[in-house]
Amino acid sequence: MKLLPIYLQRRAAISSRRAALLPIFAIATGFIVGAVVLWFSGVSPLDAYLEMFNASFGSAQGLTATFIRAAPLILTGLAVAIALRMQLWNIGAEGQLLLGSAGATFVFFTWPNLPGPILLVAAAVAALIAGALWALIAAIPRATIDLNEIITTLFLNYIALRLVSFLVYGPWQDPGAIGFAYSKPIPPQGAMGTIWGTDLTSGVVLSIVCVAITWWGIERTRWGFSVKILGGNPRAGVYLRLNAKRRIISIMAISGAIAGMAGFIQLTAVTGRLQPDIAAGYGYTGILVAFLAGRSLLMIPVVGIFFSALIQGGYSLQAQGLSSSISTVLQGLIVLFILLGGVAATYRFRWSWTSSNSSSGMVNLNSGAR
Amino acid sequence: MDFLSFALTSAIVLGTPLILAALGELVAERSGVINLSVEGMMLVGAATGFVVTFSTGNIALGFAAAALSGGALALVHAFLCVGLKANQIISGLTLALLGAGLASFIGRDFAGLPIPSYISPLSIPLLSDIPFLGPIFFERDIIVYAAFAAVIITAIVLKQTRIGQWLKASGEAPAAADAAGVPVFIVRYTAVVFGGLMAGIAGAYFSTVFVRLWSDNLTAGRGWIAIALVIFASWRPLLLVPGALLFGFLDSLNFQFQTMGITVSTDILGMSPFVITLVALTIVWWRQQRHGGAGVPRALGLPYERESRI
Repeated sequence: MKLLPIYLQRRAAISSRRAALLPIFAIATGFIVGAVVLWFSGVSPLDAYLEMFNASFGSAQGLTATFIRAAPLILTGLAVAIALRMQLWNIGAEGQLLLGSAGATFVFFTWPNLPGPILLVAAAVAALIAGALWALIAAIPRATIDLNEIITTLFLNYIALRLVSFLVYGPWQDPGAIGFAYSKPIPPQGAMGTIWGTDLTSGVVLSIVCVAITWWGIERTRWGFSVKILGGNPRAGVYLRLNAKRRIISIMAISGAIAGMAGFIQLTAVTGRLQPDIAAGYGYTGILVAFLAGRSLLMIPVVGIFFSALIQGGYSLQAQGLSSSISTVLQGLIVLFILLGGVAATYRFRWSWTSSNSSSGMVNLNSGAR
Repeated sequence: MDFLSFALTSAIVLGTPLILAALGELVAERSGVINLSVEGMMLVGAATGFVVTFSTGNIALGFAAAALSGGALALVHAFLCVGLKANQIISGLTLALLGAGLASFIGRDFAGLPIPSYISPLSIPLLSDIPFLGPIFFERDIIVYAAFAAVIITAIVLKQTRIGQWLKASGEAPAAADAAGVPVFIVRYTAVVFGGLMAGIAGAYFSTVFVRLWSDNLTAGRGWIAIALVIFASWRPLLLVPGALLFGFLDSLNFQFQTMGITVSTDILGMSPFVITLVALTIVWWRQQRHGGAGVPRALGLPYERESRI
């Protein structure tokens, strides 16, 4: 039964030109569909997009805000992306970020009188460890009994949110603001510095350094090579006697640690206090960042800054009485069109009512499923 | 009302949207398609259902709109994953986020506005006269009855009918099913859209019957719980009920302890359903693995490509 006079033939390979055009196509189409959504809700799409651009790239202030917001997005994107190298879905970056900031807060409140640099390093280490441990709660059942990590990491997000909320309203609450959703402030020497007299915090630099280190670890070490083999073809990994369980645990721990680092940056560079909305959905947006960045870890900062601009632009619309959720909608649409375009690019479309058969020139070269 | 009957009542009321959403996901997964966007579809359903009910004063219209909007989102998933064979995980996660964004976009002018109670309990004669259990189980609203009926009907359809066989065949061995004449693509499309309709209704139940408000992220992770319940139930409809009731009960404790004046941290109570589900899921999964096969449809998550059948 045919519903449409289209049939698909799989291409043997996608040309690099097609692959490069795909994100541009997806972003353009996403904005066009977003414009339709805006237009239907009675807003001029052009005005809205101009406003979003001005608020994110159009002024020094906007640009600074975009870069500050990019830091956690780059890190959560990186966290998701490296887990994906092992075909693992870390949906828990949101919770690992929260735990990372809670771990750092713990250090700040336990040793408030340490000198600045030592305190910052100790807090960063605590954030890394807390994020990694939180990820391990999902990684260990995944490695040992093959329990789906998507559900467990996601559940841990909700648990982490409640845990931070508990800490903020309970043991770490601000005596001057009881009942408010934030802890007392971290010691002043624990605030992260800014760069060269600008308002830009060091968070974005730190996040790009993390990308570089992770890229090196994946692309230039034996460990990274084994991860790529196990992710690409688990059976090959078995023949090479690679220990998949240990790699699952190590990659998830690193993924969680990176997300925890994002929590450290949020705490020391943005909020200055532990608060339940410190993660602000960055963990979820990181999934989209990782997916849009594709196979290259080095693309993550670019995509992170782009998504950060979208979010920043969305908030500017909110100031004008519009919903900031348009940026979420745009992000989702762009990723959907990447998905659509990515699949479409692997097929050759033919228009015909008659059914295809594989003798018409294109033979399946890359789908030997059976 | 004493504690026990109150607890059971709220377990049923809070469990109902979970049963609806989980049943839809179960049917989609039995056809071989995993749809992780349940939370997004529920939110879109909750927002649309609320907006339509608020604007028209007609809750039936609200539920219809909610079902359609959830179904529409599911249709996108089906088109991408069944039609174009895209990755089901990415598509589902993206739609979950997109759905949450769309929902707050749809509901933005209605946040915080209350609506009256449009659905009144329907007491079933004779059965509601049973002491103690009668008022708990048989003085509920029509959606509750419909949810339980849907579970039983789905169980029968799966076991006894040709449609059920087609569904299971598409999820277990799509190539063999296709060769035997089962319209695998149509079955999968239908199953995924059915899941969307159910999630939309579940969301609308939450926003228009239970809390009777709209606010961003209203469902607060219940869509994900529904996905976990399917694993919990080993992909069998009847086993969804105990899990959903247990979660509904845990969920309701938060409200109850507050009204009873017991001072337990709301955060500890709020995380308990997730902690308990996580622990229970791990134990159930471990035991299922040890006893061989957890009931996972064999082709779950795998796109079916006819041209690579040979």
